Amino acid sequence: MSQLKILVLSLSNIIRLGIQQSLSDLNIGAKVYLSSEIDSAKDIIEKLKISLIIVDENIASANEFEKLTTNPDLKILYLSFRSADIFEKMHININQKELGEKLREYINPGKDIKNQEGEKGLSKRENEVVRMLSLGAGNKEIAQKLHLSLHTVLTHRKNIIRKLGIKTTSGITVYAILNGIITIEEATI
Amino acid sequence: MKPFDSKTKLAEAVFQDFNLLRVISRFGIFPGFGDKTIGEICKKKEIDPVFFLIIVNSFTNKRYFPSHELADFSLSQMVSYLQKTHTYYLDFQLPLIGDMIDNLCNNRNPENKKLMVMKQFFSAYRKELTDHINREEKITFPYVLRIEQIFSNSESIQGKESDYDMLTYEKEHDNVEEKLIDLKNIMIKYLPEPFDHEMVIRILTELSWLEKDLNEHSRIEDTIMIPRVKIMEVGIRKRF
Ligand SMILES: [Fe+2]
Ligand SMILES: [Fe+2]
Repeated sequence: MSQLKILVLSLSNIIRLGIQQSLSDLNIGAKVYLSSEIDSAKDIIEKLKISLIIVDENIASANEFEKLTTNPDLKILYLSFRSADIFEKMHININQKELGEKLREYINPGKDIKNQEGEKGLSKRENEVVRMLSLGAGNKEIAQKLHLSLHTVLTHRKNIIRKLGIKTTSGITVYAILNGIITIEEATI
Repeated sequence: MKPFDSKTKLAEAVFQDFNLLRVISRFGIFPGFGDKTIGEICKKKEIDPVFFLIIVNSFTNKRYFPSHELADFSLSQMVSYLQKTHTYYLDFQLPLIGDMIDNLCNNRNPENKKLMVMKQFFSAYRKELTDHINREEKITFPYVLRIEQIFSNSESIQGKESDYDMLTYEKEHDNVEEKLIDLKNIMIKYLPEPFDHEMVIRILTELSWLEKDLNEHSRIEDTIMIPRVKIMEVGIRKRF
């Protein structure tokens, strides 16, 4: 699971630093990069595998900016001074709490935080994925052995991370041992 | 909260955040400083007060961001502070937590064999952090010092230095807190009974301190060191 990397693109130093600070206050463990022009931004996006760009809409029109990236996984969030009338926009006056919600929605579309509270423990399938991960299997191997598509495996992994709050594979292995899903002898940490 | 300045009494700053004692000890300042101000203490200990204040203020206030002062202190001073912090992790904090975790796992009363896995997980984390630190000590810091020297002596970059730059560091400078957060999380939520409860609370206290300290340390590397070195790199390239 790679780290969330966010690029903030704006001509204004104040806006760049302000967004950087707000993102760091959210404590979501994102790494934030700043840029003031499209050319160097393009460079950063490619080299550093950015997953989300927050772009000041004053810097470019939407179509101009979309041309810059061919990566379908890259998400762009526009910072708007007029109105945030579409999902891809957020208003400059957004408060801290709303910013947190917006990012969560944006990064995991369709997953409402409130729905998670009812979920307890892992499903049977998720437990099987935890077991295989702990034994050192990769995504492809898990997909083959459990007869799942790669996409489904990835979804299970995301849900496991979200439910347990454990991000690293070695952390998941420890969880599996403590919960008797595998034995300490079977595992490599 | 108003940032501390050279007229602030050091004791007052410490009262606001007790953990500052751990930070200022890296400057050779220990309890017993009386009513002296930060300025007075820095003068006596020959510490640059501008740099000292940046460290103390950014530690106590997450929103504090040094502006114009930024250009005023030397990178060698910053590198030496970061190195002292590394030494603190390697020689003090990691062994301390390691001993406590050993104690938790080897405790026969109550005995719980499953807990041994915590020991393995911690040593994996310890190795990861040690490798991260060693790479900075062997490659990054010497590079930073060299760039500062070249910059102030108007030399040119030749040979070896050109293979490595701050962008390379920025790209590979990964988050060393992930496993640590997992470790904390597992101890809080998933530790099976029986175990020494008091010991777990003490371990969690030290892990949380390490996490905060590491966060602060990485923030200095990412938001103060990287931009300053990059500016120097550009300055050097333009010269030739
Ligand atoms: Fe470091
Ligand atoms: Fe580092």
